[in-house]
Amino acid sequence: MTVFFISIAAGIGAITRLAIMDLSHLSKLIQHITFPVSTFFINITGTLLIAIAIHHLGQSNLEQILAVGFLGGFTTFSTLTNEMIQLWRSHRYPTCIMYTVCTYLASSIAIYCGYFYL
Amino acid sequence: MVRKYIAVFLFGCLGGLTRLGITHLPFSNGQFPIGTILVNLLGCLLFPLVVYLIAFTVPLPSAVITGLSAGFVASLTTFSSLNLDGLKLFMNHQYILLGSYLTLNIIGGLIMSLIGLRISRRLVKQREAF
Repeated sequence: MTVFFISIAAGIGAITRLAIMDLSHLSKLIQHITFPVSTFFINITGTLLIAIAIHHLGQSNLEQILAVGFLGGFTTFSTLTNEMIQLWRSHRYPTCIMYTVCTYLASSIAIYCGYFYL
Repeated sequence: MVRKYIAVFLFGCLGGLTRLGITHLPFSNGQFPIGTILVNLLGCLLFPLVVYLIAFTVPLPSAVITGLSAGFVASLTTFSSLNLDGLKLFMNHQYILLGSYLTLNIIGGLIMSLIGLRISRRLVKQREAF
């Protein structure tokens, strides 16, 4: 039964991600920035939330549903990698490097601080 | 709009289920999180295939394409578990494993994406030649 709920939670995570991406397309400011703000926001928020979930819920079904299901579906690695490649191919090298460094640096800080301080 | 969200939800469920299946394979139970690497590498390979190959060669409604890319593939891969597995290795002081884990994910993901991109380009070109 947990497997069923994890799967549903992953679907909900996916539409939440889509909703955030759709909302960010409405903003004129974000449209002008080549830095993939929405993916960055989604991945860092998801990382912070998984740290908090693991720390406070421990080993439970709810933790599995939230962490593996919702947050697993919410955050995405394939989009991140492909945005890195797209930025590189469109010769936006500084943005590409900044995106990569910012994502991994911020996610490391988020997972560490989320687990130990929140 | 509504169709797109329904497609992303359904394919997202399927992607999460596939990820759960792969991360629970018997050989991915050890200390080293092979399951997360497998889903991330597979997703990186599939993403360009869906966005460039299937989108241009198979006549599917755009909602299904979005469902496959933003739903299935994006839900199959995970960034939060990548960081969590990394934190676990870090807390166990397994720095060499942590380094190889991150390298396999990041560099491997880039290589798989480039392979996917190249396959799509080659096949789309071949199709146009006919």
